Amino acid sequence: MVVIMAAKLIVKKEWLDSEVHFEANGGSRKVILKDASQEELKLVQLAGVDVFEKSSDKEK
Amino acid sequence: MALGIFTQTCAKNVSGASKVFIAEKSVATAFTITSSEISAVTGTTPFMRIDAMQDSVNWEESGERIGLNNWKVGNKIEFDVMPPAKDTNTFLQALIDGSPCGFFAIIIDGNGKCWCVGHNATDVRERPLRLSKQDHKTGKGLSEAEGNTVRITLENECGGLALPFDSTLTAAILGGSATICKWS
Repeated sequence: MVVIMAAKLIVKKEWLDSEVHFEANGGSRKVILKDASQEELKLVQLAGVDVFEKSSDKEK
Repeated sequence: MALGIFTQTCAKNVSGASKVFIAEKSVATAFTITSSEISAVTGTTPFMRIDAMQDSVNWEESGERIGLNNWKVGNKIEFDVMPPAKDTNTFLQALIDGSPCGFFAIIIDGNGKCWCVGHNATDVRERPLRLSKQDHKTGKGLSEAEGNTVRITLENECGGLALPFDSTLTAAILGGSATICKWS
């Protein structure tokens, strides 16, 4: 059996003091990036907001 | 938010608004806020440039206490387009069709400050602007300047103040290079 681990989402330093306003599951959401859980960050990512480090950034 | 010192900058203050851009709520999918300013907009389609008549763009933001403890903010954006024709009809019909879901608008004020109206930090995206009025009359003759112009009014009632764009986005909007706006 192969287990695929979802990559942990890491917010870029310059966006840590920001919050994102978007819609998910039919309702408005406000996510404060520095306090957000991985589940909330996944919703932010699904909304197409580009505030995350790319895996290639981490390898540098 | 606790009360602090308010300092006034000695600078000229210019009345009026010069430009309006409008996006349907469904296509401006997320706003990123940093230090109480909009630092990024995510969307599938940019805000559309609206060439309104000179000195016809007006944004009013008015607050009102409700009962003892509540505060209501009203936004009203008005602008004139011309001449009444197929193109103005197409534009109006798009506003009529998009109004049930609502709009966000970017206003460039007379001081060169850019504001996002229809979104706020209290309601987030729940109370966007809606088309509230469309007014067109021919006028009675040559001396009536507003004859054969179409006045469009977008309004909402919401719980928070409109937010300005940060200096980077403001410079891009003023410079005509912002990708959040469709220029041509």
